[in-house]
Amino acid sequence: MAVRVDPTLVAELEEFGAGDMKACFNCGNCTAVCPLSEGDTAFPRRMIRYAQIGQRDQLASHLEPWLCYYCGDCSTTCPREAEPGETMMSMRRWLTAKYDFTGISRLFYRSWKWEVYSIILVAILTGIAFLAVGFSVGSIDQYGGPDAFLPSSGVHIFDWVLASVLLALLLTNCARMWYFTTLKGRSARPGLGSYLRNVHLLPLHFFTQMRFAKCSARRPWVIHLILMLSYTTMLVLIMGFLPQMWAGPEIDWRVHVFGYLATIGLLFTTVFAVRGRTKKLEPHYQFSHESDWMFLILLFVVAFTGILQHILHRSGLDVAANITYVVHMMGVVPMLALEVPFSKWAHLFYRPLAVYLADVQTDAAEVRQRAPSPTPGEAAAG
Amino acid sequence: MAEPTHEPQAKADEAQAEADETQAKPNEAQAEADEPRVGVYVCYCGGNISDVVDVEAVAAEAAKLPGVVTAKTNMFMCSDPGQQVIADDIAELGVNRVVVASCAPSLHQTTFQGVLERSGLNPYLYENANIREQVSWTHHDRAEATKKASALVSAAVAKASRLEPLEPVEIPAAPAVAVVGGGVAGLRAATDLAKAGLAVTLIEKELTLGGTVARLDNLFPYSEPAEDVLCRLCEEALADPRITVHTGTVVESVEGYVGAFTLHLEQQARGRTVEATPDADSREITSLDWRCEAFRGYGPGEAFADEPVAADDAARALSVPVGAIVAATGFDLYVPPEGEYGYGRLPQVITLLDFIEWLSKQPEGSVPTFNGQPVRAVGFIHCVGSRQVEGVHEPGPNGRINEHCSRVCCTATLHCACDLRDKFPDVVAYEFYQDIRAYGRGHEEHYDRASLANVIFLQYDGAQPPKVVAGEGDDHPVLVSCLDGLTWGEEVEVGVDLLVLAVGMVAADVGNLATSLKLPVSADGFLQEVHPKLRPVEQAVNGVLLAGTCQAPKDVTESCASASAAAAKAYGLLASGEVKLDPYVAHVDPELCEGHAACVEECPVDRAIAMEDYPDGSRKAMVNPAICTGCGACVAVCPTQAIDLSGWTLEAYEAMVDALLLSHSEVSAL
Amino acid sequence: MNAVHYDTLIIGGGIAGLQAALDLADQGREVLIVERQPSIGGAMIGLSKVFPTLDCSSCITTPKMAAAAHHHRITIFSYSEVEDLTPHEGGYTGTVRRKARFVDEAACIGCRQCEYACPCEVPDEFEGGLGARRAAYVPFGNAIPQVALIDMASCTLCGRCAQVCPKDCIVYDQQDELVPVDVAHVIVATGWQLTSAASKAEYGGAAIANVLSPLTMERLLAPHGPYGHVVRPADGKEPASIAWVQCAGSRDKSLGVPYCSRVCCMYAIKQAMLTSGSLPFADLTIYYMDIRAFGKGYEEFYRSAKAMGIEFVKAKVGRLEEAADRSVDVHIENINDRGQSEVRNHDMVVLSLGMAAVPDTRELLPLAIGDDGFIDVPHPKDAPCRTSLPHVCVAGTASAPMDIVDAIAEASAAAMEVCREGDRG
Repeated sequence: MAVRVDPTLVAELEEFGAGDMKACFNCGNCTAVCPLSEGDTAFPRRMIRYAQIGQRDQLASHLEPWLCYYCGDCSTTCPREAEPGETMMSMRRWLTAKYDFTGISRLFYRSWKWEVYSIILVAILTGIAFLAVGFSVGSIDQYGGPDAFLPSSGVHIFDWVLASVLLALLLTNCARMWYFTTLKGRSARPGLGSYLRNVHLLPLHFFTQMRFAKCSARRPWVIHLILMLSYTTMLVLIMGFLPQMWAGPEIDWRVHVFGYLATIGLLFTTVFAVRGRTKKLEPHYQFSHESDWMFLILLFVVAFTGILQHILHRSGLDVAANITYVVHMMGVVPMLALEVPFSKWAHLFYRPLAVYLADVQTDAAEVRQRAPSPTPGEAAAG
Repeated sequence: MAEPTHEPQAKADEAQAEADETQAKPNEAQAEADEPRVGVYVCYCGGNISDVVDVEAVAAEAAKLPGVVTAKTNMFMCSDPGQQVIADDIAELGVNRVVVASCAPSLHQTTFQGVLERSGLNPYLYENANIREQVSWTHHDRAEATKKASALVSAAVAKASRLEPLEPVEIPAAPAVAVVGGGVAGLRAATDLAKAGLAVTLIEKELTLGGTVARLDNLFPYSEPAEDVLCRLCEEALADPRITVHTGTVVESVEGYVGAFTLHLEQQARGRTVEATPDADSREITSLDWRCEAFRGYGPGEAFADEPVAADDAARALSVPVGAIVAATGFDLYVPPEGEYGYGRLPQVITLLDFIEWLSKQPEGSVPTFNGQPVRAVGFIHCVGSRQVEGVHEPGPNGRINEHCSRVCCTATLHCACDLRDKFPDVVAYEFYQDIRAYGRGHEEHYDRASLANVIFLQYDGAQPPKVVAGEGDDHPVLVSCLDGLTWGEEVEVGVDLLVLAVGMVAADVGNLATSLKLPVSADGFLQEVHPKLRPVEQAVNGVLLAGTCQAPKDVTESCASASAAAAKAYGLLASGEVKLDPYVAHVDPELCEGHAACVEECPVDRAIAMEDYPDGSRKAMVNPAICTGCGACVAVCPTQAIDLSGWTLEAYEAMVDALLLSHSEVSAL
Repeated sequence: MNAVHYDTLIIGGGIAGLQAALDLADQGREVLIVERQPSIGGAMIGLSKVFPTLDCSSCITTPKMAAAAHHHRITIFSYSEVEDLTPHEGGYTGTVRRKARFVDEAACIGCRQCEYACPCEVPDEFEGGLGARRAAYVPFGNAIPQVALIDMASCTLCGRCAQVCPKDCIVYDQQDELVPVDVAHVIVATGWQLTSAASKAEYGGAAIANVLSPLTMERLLAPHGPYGHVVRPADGKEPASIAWVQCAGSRDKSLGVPYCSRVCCMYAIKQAMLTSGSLPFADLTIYYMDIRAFGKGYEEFYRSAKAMGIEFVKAKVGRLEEAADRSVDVHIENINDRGQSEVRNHDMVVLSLGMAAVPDTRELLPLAIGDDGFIDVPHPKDAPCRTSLPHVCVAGTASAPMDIVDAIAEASAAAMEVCREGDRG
């Protein structure tokens, strides 16, 4: 059955940031140079070729775009300057939009105005809402205690509600990802055993990004790891230890030290990345899509206002602290409500999931090779 | 002399020439009168010979041969010091016959003949024994090889002893050249030759000049308009008073030999002639002379086909005497047989040249149409009629497939695809290729441009060419599919509204020119050059040069370079006013000839021997030394042994055979 | 000293320069060839065999070299460079620097006694760094002129060569000689150089011993090369598997060489065919992007190579790494198979490096130079050898990468351009 070429996918990917992929003349250098490309899990040329001939289904059903960590070796050695690294990045954006059933992701990626205006709108609404709530339940000069402007218990509940919505969206999208890449159209599906045997890989890759370490340049992995661990630490602290975080003005070293480390991590890495992208210091900093900037700016704003309000409160300037806190929430809410499920943040889930599913598929293939007849697990899953 | 001191070269030359002359005469007289004094020089060839052959032993054996006055060895006989040894021996030891045992004569015969000449000896008193290609390169056993080398040397000595001084055959050369073909190559060669001072006759079979380039739009890789290039060339040719131009003219037959050819031409009624005006400094051109503005839009034979013939126009025959001929007859485009990629069956399948003409006629700013239908996607297939595979492609009318690569089509197709995308950015372009052969300066950049213009490339393997079917019920009338190597062999299909076949170059039928002159052709059908690396524009037939695509596929740059090269060779042949040919030709002793004419019958070369009437009423054989190739077939059949080859006499052969037998009978030389 | 007058100055004594010289001299013009190396012959004299005829390169170059050397109208200044050229109405005046050989060129007979006596050994550039030569040396077996020179940088001034020289022609204090010349025409035939092997770090940056440059491979294949056999440089082992990496110095924007060098596909196929004759059991693989076998007889040559069992793999090599046993690991994507990533191992690898321009003529003449460094001409389609400067033509690889066939055709074309100018010098 012949595959029909659809020439429109290239233009579509260009909207997601793939500026130079047309220059690719399929020499295979990128795949050859890539330290993470092995055997039949070969990329990035395979993906680029699918894109050139318009194979949307193939692109959606492959995990390879997520297996790439954008070390940029492919781009620096590409003889046509076709930027395979950035092309893979744009594919990740396209896939993020594809997995998202709401269509918001696609809207944001293709129009930065929609993204920015939405964020601003949500920020403003958040600001208004928090101020309104704050003034009605407490007074602005009270940071903690019964008259607190923004009582931690209330914020805590709000945070959990927000998190649940966000998690629901993310998990749905992950499920769609799983469907597209592992189930749809496949005659042979992995058995339960394959999933269980490899399940430890999910948290492993999530927390260590160890595949990234295989790339020839180590520093991007280190920076990314710090950023990611700082963010996760912060998330855990906020979700699980909000009262202790908030309590004060004394410093609760068992909790706050993690907060300080995480904050330093976040501030340092976001500034490093902004500087890197502005000056195009590294291969993966050559191209910056609006979503890349938005991610860094929001993160920086949130981290900065977070530590600022903490310092202000501990210095006794509670009015300023509360105002800063409102600003902080004006950053947090759009970040969590809009950016995380619909934009660059989503890779937080997609990539470890992809690595996991890739190993699951390899495992399943081995199982099929050894036992040609379907196992009960496979029959059940299929 | 490689490195003279800094005296004015010309004066030294004159002195040398004088000295040569005075020396030559007494030496030559001496050579005839005296006993042969043979010098034998055996070369080590830098190990090439000495690795297998015991060179010293060969020299030692040679020294014992009758007539040999000295036998020496050298590491590189062809080097300066080696040559000096010979020159010294000629001067000091009175050596008057030279045998060099070394590599093949094709390499250094002229080198050593030059040494003899410089030393005042007739250059044809030199003999070679090839102990490299015939001994050290083919045998391994040292003893056997050395014996064979000795045998060959003794045979060479036997022949050398019987060599007589000879003079090269000198033919007066008409300072005129015929250039057959008025395309870019012909025009370039014609102007080069005219500027160098020769009279040129430019013969073009079509009614207009310009050849295939006249049908192109703009030329890769700099997108220079074809018209500009042609106008430059035509202007130069038509403005040069030494060039006679005949359009609408073909060569009927050719007589003669280098220096004295006669071309018999036939000019049709509508053909035009621009006569040379050799006394003038320049010539005025009228637009009718070249009809440049008529270039575009005509296929071969179409231009002015409907122009009425004037009353005083008539077909006529002409004869042109020239000293050399430059063949610039160009190429033909491959015509796919019906059904190849749908050609001839699906109206949307056209050739690249058709596409160029189609694109140039499409108005900008609107959707292009073909046969009234909108064109939204165009496919190009590379290598149509080239790189064909036995069993996969149909043989051509000559019963053979075209294995050769046509060189220019990859870049030409990329160029067309870029032009298409530039003019109509909404039209999709697909290219089906095997290898992208964008090899020349600026060509790879064209490939880059095509990629950036979002031309989609699909790679097929030669043994499995793309399939073309009608798009029944599809959005597009034509569907093309192949097993795409870039998509790991998956079958990939595209829908197109126009399919363009990048047809290759095949040899043009040069008709009577080739048959008259018996021009050899290569396996790919194009005219064969003497040596593909070293002599790319010269033909085996002396005096015929090759310019442009008649020899092999080329682009315009390469055609013009080869045309200038052909002109350079032709000029070199004729510049001195006479042509010198090797004297190794047959000669008849009229006293022995009884007029049997067996030689005439046996001779494989037309008119090399003819029976001539003698004043006493007898008919005897006469050799034309300019045509005779010295094959010796005549010598073999003459019943009275009246005919013999200069420099390769029957007597010499017999002496060589005797020498070989003697050396192999293990009897030591006297 | 008065300027010596010549009709044409040809800068470069490679095949293009020699062909142009012979054409002009045969037409009665006085020609001066200035060649920078101590011998004429250019790159061609160092090759093993040439494609597609597989003629021995020396055997077809030496007749041209010898013919030029002995032609009474051709003067050759070897080991010399053109210092400057100043235009005037009828041509150019200039100065040629004849570099000191420290040997009296006119007296030297090329006997090599100095070379045998010399105690200093340095790597032999002619042999691609394999094998050694002495400080006092004759460039190579069929060099023309077959005259010695001393590499003063490596010479210890021990005096042994002077002692043994039978013609007493060693001159330790010889100075460069500046010769003024006056010419009517100039042909630039300065040739090319290899692109740098060191510039691509992914290929080992010229540090892997068994990754060779193609000219070194030519020497290994040449009949009178350094070892007389194909062995790998690191340890002298006879390689059981050899790979050629195409486009190692061309068609690569990341290296700053976006253009195609035109000859590398063919020379790699040629080298592979010669190697299969020399090492009949070796596995030979060519990794390529496109096989550009475009010339007369080239496609047929390519098909013969495939028929001989040489493997052609469409894959641009990403990385080369030295393995523990000094063999080379080659990282590719096997495109025409399943597009899988592979690491293959070969005993020896030859980089098909490209042709780069020789920049020197820019200082001598204000010629237009393209982005690729090669000389530009105003009418590249219909007059490829005619430069923008009156009386100056270009021939051979000085104007673009090209093979021997095209260089010879262009050389004759350049000679014709000189003829067209009419006036004889």
